[in-house]
Amino acid sequence: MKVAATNQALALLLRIFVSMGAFVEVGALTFSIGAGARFGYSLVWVIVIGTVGIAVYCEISGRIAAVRNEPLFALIRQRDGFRSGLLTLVAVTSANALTCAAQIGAVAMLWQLLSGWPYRLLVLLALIFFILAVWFTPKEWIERVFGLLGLMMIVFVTVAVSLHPRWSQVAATALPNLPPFKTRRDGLLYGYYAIALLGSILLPYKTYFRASAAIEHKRKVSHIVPDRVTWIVGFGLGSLLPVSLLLIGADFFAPRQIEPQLPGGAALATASLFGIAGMLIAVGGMFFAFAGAAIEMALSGAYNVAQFLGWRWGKLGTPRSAARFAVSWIALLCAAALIVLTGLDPARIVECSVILSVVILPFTYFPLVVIGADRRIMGDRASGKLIKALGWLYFMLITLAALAVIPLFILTRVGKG
Amino acid sequence: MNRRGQRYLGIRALIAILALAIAAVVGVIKLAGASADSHELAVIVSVLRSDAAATAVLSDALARGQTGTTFARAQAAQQRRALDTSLRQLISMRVGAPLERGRVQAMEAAGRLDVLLALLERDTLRSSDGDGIAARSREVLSTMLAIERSLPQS
Repeated sequence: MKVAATNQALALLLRIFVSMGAFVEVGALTFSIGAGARFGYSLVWVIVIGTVGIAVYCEISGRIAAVRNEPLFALIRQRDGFRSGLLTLVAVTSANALTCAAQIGAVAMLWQLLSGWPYRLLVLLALIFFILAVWFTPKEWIERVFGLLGLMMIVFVTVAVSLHPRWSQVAATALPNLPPFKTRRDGLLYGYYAIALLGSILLPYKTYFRASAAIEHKRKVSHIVPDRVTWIVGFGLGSLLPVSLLLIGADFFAPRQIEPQLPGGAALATASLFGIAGMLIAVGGMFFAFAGAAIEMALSGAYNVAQFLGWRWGKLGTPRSAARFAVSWIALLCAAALIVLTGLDPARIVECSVILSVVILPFTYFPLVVIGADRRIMGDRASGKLIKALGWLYFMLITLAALAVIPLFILTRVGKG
Repeated sequence: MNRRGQRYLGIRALIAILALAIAAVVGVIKLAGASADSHELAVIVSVLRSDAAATAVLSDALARGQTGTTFARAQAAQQRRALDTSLRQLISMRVGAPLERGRVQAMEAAGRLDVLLALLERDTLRSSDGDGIAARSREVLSTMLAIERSLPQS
């Protein structure tokens, strides 16, 4: 009995660490550091709000999966019909492809920092690496290896702490605030960074991937509470990473008047404080975090397409047992790599992927909120008052963000000022 | 209203929403294009300054043995590419004319950021404080180029 309880506790701890390590992808990294470099600590509150939001939506999607044991996109198609469901599918898949492209580009850039090899060659090698990794590695090991090794990014927490931030000020900025702006443009730029940072934390692939994974791992109603703990604690701890990156932006880059746009910039801060070992740990952590995100995005896109079209899906069996599903994730990875190979600037791909994700956020989270609260579908496990209220509150927030982001994108000249 | 009527009502609403969205985007782009000259120049200076400072930190880290040469060179090259893109984007937003975009692309093909900046100065620095900003840009750029040239060759 004691052994079983210990095993359960260890399994929960492992899931928490995996969730923590998988919290940051390249968009969150770029916008967190950029926000700190431009606006000091003042955008910490966006990370807090985003973390609560993603935990709420993951809770809803995980609960739907545990209660119904039916794929989310199958439910969306049943409830909303083919055409309306197709709109959601197209929106989510486009965002997945672009965000996956951003991760592949970032991985190639990290490899370039270590090897000095040509960028495009490394993009092709990264594509081959991802296909082989997903093809041959069992799904739970993909999550564990990339999630746990992504925890090397904790080095950024150490860097942030060693820069001696003003903690009282950091705590004060955990609540929504507006710093004084010199010009109207500064205000617009603040809004742009706030929305982009929120979007990078609320990327929809996280919820869809975890819902499908829950069905694959046969999560039941009895798992709802431990899963809830995983989201809250894992994401809560995971949010320390973007907060640390923001602090590094404020305390390391801002005084030097640097606005880093690339992952190598983050590694540079670590190198300046901890030397080559620090730099290698930072690059390693970013690699596993971005690679894990790229794989989750590709699989998430394939889950959605296969579930919507009623194909056999799943990563637990061999690729042949769900051939069209396997073709879908390979196609998504190839499409993402092609986007990078067109020669678009990687930093622009990262920015545009986050902005596109913000635009489609309402389309992706609306069905979740509605299905999660629908008693005809969820029975007694329909969202309670708090989750329902939070779900709709965040839906309003992301709708406002989606409406505002394109005008801000143009008015701030892609965040340039 | 029957189902067919409702469907057409939905299509009309969708067309109206799309038209409004297009009008809003066009309006916003025009508004953005009508902004003051000096602002773009200030942004360019800030982009250049940021890159120069990042290159200086990189060079410093290399000198102290905190990074390897491969890392330093690759990071400097990545920064340069990002800087080129930022400048091209700002120039095409500011200038907008197809001829200018063509010339900017030609400079890009030649891989000459300094020439790109000269083009920028000649064609776009016409505001009252343009000369001062141009001088600062030139100064920052030359510092940056000097630091980059000082990095050891692989």
